Amino acid sequence: MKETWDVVVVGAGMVGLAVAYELSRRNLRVALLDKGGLGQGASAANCGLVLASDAEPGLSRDLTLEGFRLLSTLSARLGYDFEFEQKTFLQALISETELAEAEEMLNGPLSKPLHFRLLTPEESRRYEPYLDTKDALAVFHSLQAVVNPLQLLFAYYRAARRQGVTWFPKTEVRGFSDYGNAQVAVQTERGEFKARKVIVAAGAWSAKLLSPLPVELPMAFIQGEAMVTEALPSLLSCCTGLFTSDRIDLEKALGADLLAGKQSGLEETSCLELDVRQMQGGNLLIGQKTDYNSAYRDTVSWNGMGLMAGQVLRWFPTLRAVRVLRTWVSPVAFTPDHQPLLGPLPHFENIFLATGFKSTIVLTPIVAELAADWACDANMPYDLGEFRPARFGEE
Amino acid sequence: MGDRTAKVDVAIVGAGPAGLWAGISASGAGAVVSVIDENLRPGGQLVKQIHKFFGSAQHHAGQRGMAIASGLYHQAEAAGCRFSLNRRVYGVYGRGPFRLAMATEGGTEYLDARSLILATGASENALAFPGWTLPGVMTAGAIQTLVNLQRVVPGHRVLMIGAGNVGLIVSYQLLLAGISVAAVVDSKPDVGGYWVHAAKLAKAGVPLLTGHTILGVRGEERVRSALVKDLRSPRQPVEIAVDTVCLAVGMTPSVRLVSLLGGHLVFEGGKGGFVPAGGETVSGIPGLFAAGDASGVAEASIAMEEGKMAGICASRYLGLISEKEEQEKSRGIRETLAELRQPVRPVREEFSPSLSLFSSPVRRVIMECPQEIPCNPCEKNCPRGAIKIGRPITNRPQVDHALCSGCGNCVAVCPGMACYLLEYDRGGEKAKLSFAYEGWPLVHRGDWVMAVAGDGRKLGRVQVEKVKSLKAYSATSVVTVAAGPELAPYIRGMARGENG
Ligand SMILES: Cc1cc2nc3c(=O)[nH]c(=O)nc-3n(C[C@H](O)[C@H](O)[C@H](O)COP(=O)(O)OP(=O)(O)OC[C@H]3O[C@@H](n4cnc5c(N)ncnc54)[C@H](O)[C@@H]3O)c2cc1C
Ligand SMILES: Cc1cc2nc3c(=O)[nH]c(=O)nc-3n(C[C@H](O)[C@H](O)[C@H](O)COP(=O)(O)OP(=O)(O)OC[C@H]3O[C@@H](n4cnc5c(N)ncnc54)[C@H](O)[C@@H]3O)c2cc1C
Repeated sequence: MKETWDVVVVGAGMVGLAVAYELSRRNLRVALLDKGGLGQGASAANCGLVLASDAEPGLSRDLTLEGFRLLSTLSARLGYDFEFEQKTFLQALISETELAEAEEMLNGPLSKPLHFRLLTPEESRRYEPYLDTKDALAVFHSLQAVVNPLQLLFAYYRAARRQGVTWFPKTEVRGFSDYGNAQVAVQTERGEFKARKVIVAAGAWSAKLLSPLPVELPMAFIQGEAMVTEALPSLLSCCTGLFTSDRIDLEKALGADLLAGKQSGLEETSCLELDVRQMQGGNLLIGQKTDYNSAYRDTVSWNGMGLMAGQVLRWFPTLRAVRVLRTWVSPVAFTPDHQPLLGPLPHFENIFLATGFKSTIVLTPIVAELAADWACDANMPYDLGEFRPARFGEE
Repeated sequence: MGDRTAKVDVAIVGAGPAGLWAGISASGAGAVVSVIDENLRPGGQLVKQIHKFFGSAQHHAGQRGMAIASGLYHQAEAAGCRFSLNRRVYGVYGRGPFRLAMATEGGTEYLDARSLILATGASENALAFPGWTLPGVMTAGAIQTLVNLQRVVPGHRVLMIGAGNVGLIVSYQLLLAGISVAAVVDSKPDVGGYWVHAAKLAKAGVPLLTGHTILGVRGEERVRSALVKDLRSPRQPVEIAVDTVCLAVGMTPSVRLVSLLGGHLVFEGGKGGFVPAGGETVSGIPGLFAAGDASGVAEASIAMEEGKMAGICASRYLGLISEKEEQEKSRGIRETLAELRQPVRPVREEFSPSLSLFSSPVRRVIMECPQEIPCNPCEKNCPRGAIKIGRPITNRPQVDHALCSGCGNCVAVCPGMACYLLEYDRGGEKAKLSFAYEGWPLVHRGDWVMAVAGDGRKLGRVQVEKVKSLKAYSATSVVTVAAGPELAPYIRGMARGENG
């Protein structure tokens, strides 16, 4: 292709789509490329939770709160309803350790904005009458939000297209070459794209895509499994799950192994971070079993399905006969320090990486704005130093 | 010239399940019984039925119709019944005794009987539409005679009219014979036959066009296509290319001999039309009894019980049993009949595996049996007592998975082919699903087959791990395929003709 794009965005997941949309709002000429179609990665495979409660202190938390604010009015700006809705989140606490952790969170800075409270099991049933709380010591309450993930993608896609983003599906990026002269050549299966700048939002595939470049990115990925049931009459009003202390511990260990550059001892381990909620159409969306086996696979595991369904029935015995329409698995990017990779690459200052977010949906609108700021050489309202992709090679 | 007319205590017209059981029960009471049928083989409808009968196991459900026919025939012979086959009763003269006139190849034969049981079954209804006289339009009974008895394929692509049990079952029989079924059309909004029979067709990808009707057929020498109209839509009818149109639009009780004798008839729509008044004891004519489809179109289990009942009534009429014996014997039959005759309501179900299925331990029987139908071979054939239906027989099966040994008997015996076995090991990559399979092409271990879902959707190629075909399964195989866990719970069978 002969023309030069202002920005080539690689990956049409929620991050790539949001970035493309923000760029086009700033009147840049944008090409959006994906090896498949829309949402072929994790973005069409997630549970749509707008989770802010687990943001780490510092930049992460600031961005999360800002993202949350932006997301709550995004539907109106995009002109498309993606079923954003404030939701009560209930998390069952089943051990003294979890109870202690939860109590600590009550005094944290997110407690107030997210309405953290500790409910007795009986109290929690006022929010969710079908919840069987016999196994819970207490229930952690927060007020967060949910979206319909597919509709969110579509909302961004529609708005981006309307604003002139050019969309290239089935265009796998194979590599980059530096033209000097503030230009990058993006090599794809459909030929070369010249761009002033490139934003890589290739999710779990980012490390593979960037592996030919001399950049150290100790990224890994984890696999998330989920399922959706048939549509039911209105039954559940909250998003209910388990408190996720297991997962936090597992991920710390995985991060340490990654940084030490050793084969992870966590191969084959997995954990369940249950969340069940009813979507506006009536279907129940159930997630998420995560495993740390780093081979790409495209089929779910029995283990995962069994764990998930078992836990759902433990908390909602009423749902025994509810039918599962579909199950799936998708890889999600993972970084050793649980912080995103957000910023230009070392030595390739015109390639910007945006991936590795822990809770992607809530961050998507703000990340898109920051990436667009970078592309326009505008001043950023935050210092992204903590998240710079070069941080690992420096230690 | 002396009177050479044979004399018997009980003459039974019709050697279907009703007539055969009437014979068994009257002979058991000591009557001299003659069973007459116009066909060469006894069994009535059963002779043509190559499928496994639904119904109660006590009435041989789970076996194929033709096997039930020969079983009952041997039972009746052993009980002492005499058979006059290849004879059609065309008249009955006199009432005491009844003198039956039978057309045979050599002329008329007569038979005097002190009592007469009519078990003449039912005859099929036809449907008239433009082109209905073209070769290629035939009734379900005719097509069954051609395909199942005479082994002649009348066409290659059939449109079935009628989604009652007969239409559904005959469509499935045609599939077994390698004939394709373009669609099943019925004007009612719901499938009238049992859900499980419709499900067998759905698995094979046959569209069930309820709320549709046939407007006519086109063709010069024979049927080339049929015009089918969606009754709920203003759109033009669609033309479906078929070479055969098969009518399964209900049956009418065969009551001509009752009329001939001047017996009372009453109209009962639910039973198929005019039926003898008074049930098994035809009112107005002492010594005359009716049973089976002739007294109201129903099912084989019901025909058998009614036959038994008619045999008992005749025995009582002849003084062979006391009133007390009659009451004792008939009480159980009445209870069974009441149970079997419960109305079956249509259900609209689509199956996907449930959450509890996913959460289950190692092995799981899946029973896609959503309708309250009188059927229980699964319960009776489970060696561990893990399946419970109990009474009434219309209860839906309940499975105690802790007791299940995974033998697969229920999979093999279920007349609806609605039982599946799902097995997986927690760590394993593959799960195994077993389903019932019959007919051609044969499958073997190691074959790659196209797995299909309950709605006929092709799910992907999977490998056959095991084919279990015991003699007791009567030409059914339990096929076990290995598939990924995202696929296995959804597999309900394999596409015919796509293995290898
Ligand atoms: C089961 C499950 C539940 C989850 N639940 C939640 C939740 O409730 N809330 C939440 O915030 N997050 C959740 N997540 C995580 C979230 O889905 C992901 O973090 C998020 O979708 C990542 O978005 P992305 O745009 O970065 O990547 P992706 O959506 O994975 O998009 C990357 C895109 O890049 C394309 N691509 C890759 N390589 C190339 C190449 N070489 N050339 C061109 N294109 C390429 C891919 O085709 C893909 O479309 C969940 C994840 C899973 C699996
Ligand atoms: C396609 C199909 C599938 C079926 N599947 C099932 C099933 O799965 N389960 C189930 O329970 N039921 C099933 N049925 C119904 C079952 O076959 C009948 O209900 C049952 O056979 C009725 O028995 P019967 O003895 O009353 O009559 P029939 O079986 O019809 O027997 C009547 C006999 O009488 C003979 N006859 C009639 N008039 C005369 C005469 N004048 N002289 C001499 N002989 C005469 C006929 O030729 C016939 O042989 C099915 C029926 C059909 C058509």
